[in-house]
Amino acid sequence: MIGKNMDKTVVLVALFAAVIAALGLIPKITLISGVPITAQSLGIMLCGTILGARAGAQAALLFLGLTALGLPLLAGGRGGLAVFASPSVGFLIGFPIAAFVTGWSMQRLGRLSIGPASALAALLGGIIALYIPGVIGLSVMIDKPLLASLALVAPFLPGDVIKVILCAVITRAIYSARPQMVLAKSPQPAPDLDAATQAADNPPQKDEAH
Amino acid sequence: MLALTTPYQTIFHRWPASLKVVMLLAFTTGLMLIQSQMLLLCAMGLPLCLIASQGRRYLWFSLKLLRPLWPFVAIILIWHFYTADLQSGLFIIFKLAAAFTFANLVTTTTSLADFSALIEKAMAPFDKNGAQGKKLGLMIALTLRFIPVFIERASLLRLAHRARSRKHGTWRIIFPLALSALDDAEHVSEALNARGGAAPR
Repeated sequence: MIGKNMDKTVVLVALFAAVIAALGLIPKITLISGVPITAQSLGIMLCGTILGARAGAQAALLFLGLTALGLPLLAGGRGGLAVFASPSVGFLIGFPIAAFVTGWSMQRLGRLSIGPASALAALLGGIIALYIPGVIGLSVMIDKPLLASLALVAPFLPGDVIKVILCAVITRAIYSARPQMVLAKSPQPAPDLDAATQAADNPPQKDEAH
Repeated sequence: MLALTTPYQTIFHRWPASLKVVMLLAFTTGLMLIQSQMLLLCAMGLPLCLIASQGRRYLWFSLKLLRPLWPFVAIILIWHFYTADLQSGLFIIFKLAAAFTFANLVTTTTSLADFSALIEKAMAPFDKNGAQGKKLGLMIALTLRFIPVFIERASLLRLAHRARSRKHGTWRIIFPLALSALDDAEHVSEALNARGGAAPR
């Protein structure tokens, strides 16, 4: 069973790295204030709420690795090593951290129902844990004080709140249709995220007919 | 192929990927330490000269890749215009542009295969029987395959939705899209397991 679950984790990690990449292709929505919102960080939040801390961070790292190798996967067709020399480098480094914190919170909010738990986890990971390295990176790269850098990215926050809500809605929909795929919703924090314990704890659903 | 590699052949394509990455690391580290204007101009000139030596078309191709930096250049200029310290603003912009140009030089002249071979080599000391490297290679291949599949699935669902609905609110396809992607993942992992699994046991 271990091998089977490892295969599933490998495939899901690859799938979510692809989802983050595909979300970068969604045309950006421009707010009235003129600030664009991209869907890519929604993918990061979903990595955490669905895959959990470890596999979620792996998916974000895999995505970053592919970007660094030169694939133009970031929103707007950016990619290559140059993005790690750009002012948004902090947000990129923050991607795996954000996915990890989201997943970690998700695994510890087991008592809440899935919707509120994933919203809270996405807020903690996808916004707070992402903006800390992001703002630090921006402030170092453009050589400005932290508060000024925070002010520069603050217009993105309303869009991020929308993404948190979307993330919760999507996670709940996936959990009700394919509970066995939500690796993060494990009753106890599984060290290596094997779905084995989780499959045992979730009573068989109607789509698990043998 | 989905890549940033330039279609124009340069001599840098023939340099080993490891050399180019080490040069990039040395260059960006050196850049952080630069204090004088003359040195900074030289640092900016180095990647530009290397690129320009490979012909005008490649130079133009590389300069176009600098476009994502414009918003930051504008922010920095406005800030330093108000603080009446335009010189240090230009200093920051030049450092950013130099690092960005050099990194693009490495990216555009190194193929994906060369990069992944480099990663496997770099991982080798931490990887006893090659299992981790193989797993990583498999994950990269799967992701590259999933991206076009996922995009195609999304456009099919969008067409199906448009055919059946008068509304054009396409965000609704996100649920069937997510579920079908997860079902694909389930099938792929079963197929993988049936063929011996992702890692040796």
